[in-house]
Amino acid sequence: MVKKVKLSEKIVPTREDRLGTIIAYGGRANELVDLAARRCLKAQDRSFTQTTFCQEWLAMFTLATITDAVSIVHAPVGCSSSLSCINIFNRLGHILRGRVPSNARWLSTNLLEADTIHGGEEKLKKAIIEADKRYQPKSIFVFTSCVAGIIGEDIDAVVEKVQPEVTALVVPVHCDGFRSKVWASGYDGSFHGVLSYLVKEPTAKRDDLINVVNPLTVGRLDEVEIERLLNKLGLKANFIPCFASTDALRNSAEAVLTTSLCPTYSEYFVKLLQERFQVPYTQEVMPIGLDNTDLWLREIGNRLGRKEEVEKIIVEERKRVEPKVAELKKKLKGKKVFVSAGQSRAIGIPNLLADLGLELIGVTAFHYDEVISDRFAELTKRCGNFCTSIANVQPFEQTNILNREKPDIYLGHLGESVWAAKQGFPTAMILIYLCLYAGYNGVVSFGSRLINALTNPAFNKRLADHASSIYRDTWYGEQPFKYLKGD
Amino acid sequence: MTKRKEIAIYGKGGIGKSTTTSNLSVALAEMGYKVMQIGCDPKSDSTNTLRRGRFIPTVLDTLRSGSSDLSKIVHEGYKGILCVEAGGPEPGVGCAGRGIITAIELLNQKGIIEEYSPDVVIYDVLGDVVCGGFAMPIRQGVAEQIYAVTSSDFMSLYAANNLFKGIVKYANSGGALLGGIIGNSINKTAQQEMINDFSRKTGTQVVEYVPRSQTVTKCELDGMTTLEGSPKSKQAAVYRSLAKKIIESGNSFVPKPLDPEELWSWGSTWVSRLLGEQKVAYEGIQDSKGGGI
Ligand SMILES: Nc1ncnc2c1ncn2[C@@H]1O[C@H](COP(=O)(O)OP(=O)(O)O)[C@@H](O)[C@H]1O
Ligand code: SF4
Ligand SMILES: [Mg+2]
Repeated sequence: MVKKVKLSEKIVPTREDRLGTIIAYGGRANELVDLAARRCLKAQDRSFTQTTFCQEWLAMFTLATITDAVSIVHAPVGCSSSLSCINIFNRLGHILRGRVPSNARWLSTNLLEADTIHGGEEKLKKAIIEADKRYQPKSIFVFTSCVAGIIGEDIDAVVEKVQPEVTALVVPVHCDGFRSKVWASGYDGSFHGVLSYLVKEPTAKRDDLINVVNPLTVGRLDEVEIERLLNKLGLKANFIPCFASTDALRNSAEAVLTTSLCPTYSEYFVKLLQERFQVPYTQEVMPIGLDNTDLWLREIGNRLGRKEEVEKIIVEERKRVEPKVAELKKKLKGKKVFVSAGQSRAIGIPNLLADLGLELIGVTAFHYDEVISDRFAELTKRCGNFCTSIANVQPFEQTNILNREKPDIYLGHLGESVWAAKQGFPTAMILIYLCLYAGYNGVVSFGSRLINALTNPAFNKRLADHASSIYRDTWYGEQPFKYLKGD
Repeated sequence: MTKRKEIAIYGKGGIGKSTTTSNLSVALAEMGYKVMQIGCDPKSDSTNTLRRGRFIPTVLDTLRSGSSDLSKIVHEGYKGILCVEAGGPEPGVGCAGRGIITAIELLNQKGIIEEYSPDVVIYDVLGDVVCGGFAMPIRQGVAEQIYAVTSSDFMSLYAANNLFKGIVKYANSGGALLGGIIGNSINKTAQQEMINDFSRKTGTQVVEYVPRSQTVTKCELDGMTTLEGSPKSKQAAVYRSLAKKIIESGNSFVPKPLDPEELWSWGSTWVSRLLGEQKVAYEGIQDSKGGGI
């Protein structure tokens, strides 16, 4: 089932093809673990589905905040609409890094009717030259789209042809929206471009430099905590790709090791960086929760042959935070929690919650595959046979599940928590740049946030009293997974 | 004429669609009809023999240049025939199917056909029905009758069969129906019989057999249709007869396309029969003597 990745290919196979990723499942956790272990997990789909993301979004999300780059979206203008949302992250990210906030820079080739007939390659060429002249960037990323893909635009050829005319390094990114139902495939398209066109053969290896691959949705506060831990080992963190410079990416092959704050995000990049430039990697888990942070550090220690130092740090850190965690636990113990998140966070956050004594009653992960299958199995050992849904953001299923499971608190992403809030459940977001989740301090920080949410439920309750019902009452009488169907 | 007749001519590339269509247009014009011929092929050469081989600006070129003024895309050709070329992308880029959709939509939106108010509109459409774009003239509200031009070449019949599939797809939603098959370059009885058999198998009918003729080639070299260049020829008479049948025919069919395996096995029996005849014609060898082909 699992295909080997090859850098020689122009386009990375989708995650469904490469990792057997699924986006639809509903049932109990043990069942999923069992099916996966027996390799009997079928790629199901939904006969009804709500709007979800396209992989182009995630491809742009990966590269749009690179400080000295310009993004060109080779598409009808609507395909770049998500960039204004990415730009909010971008501005906030700059502020949190103590920089003057500036806008992400992007152009759209604005493919019109006539361009879809006659081809838009000339327009793209002009856009690249214009971007180079207008912004003098170090790199230019060219993102493809459905239209570009359907009419067969050869962006690699355009890039090759135009490169001698511009100073910036031009990188094609294949991310036609329709090609994959798993939006994480977009990460791979971006990293593939970076690996093929930017990363240099290292002139020297630096044994104090560690690449830390971090998605835009894991914030600066988390980076600070991670940096603190890595500094203890005398390592300098090269956070890539978000908010990094083009050179930081170009020089990433100099690092002694690559690690990750999100295995789902970094999966393809770290493997290929190793294959091509022999930079070893670790990407077992997100460093969220005490146990997972221990594990995350141990992996690094093992790879660098510094086990003892790492053990010392773990003891030190645990000694420092465990009393605080014990305090929090008194207030949080036994509270029933439901978590919805991207697949790596859907493992990380529940582990953190278990540290704090909460009872996990359900998890929704945006997709599921071998990247998390082992860790997911372990989570069931720690947290029991909880309700499990694999869904690429399907609020209709989510609200039905919550209506049955009735959690004391719901944890989800930005746009999801609002549904639970309308149902009256206390909520806390798992993506907010102003809260810390990662590392040892993250457990304490997030724990206090949970107490805040649990002790102040009035707003959501009032909201539920006054909000009109989201779906018809009859829907809540149906099974939440009614619209899942086999292949 | 009360109601405008709109038809579309389909067939494999190079099979003789444009030649047949242009001669048909002239024949209809001779009968007193006002005819508009719309070439739907990126080659943009459908109407060339109506204008002594000259090319005209296409609908899509006009759109591409940013102009919305489509007044310059209709050019009068021989016998006042209104010539339009949809145009399309350069080979190897863009999307020709989308081009046909856009061109036909534009002609409608801009009221071009209304403005000239022809009695007959003939769409000359490139090739196989390979995608939604090439099926555009079949869909509701464009042509009402489709004619398939085919020779006795298996691949040409294969394309006709695909066209039938396209017609079936839209038949229930007000799409065009099949007017019939036009056999082109048919000089032998066996070829006629093969096409006849195909039409029987698919529940359709053959409108006309057009022979392969040097007259066509000669006139084409002079940038003319056969009816203009050699109006008294036998070939010209065939085109006139075709025109008469098409304009008078009210018959339309929902064809019954063959499935690929059926088509292959049907085709292979006919091809060996045709090859046999050829051998006799060229070498004077009878099957019984030659044996074991
Ligand atoms: N009946 C015929 N006799 C002789 N030549 C023909 C005949 N029909 C078509 N041709 C020739 O075949 C070639 C292709 O015809 P054309 O009408 O351009 O094909 P299409 O439009 O189907 O691509 C032209 O050179 C044309 O003169
Ligand atoms: S790439 Fe495709 S799916 Fe994505 S926004 Fe554009 S049109 Fe929509
Ligand atoms: Mg033609």
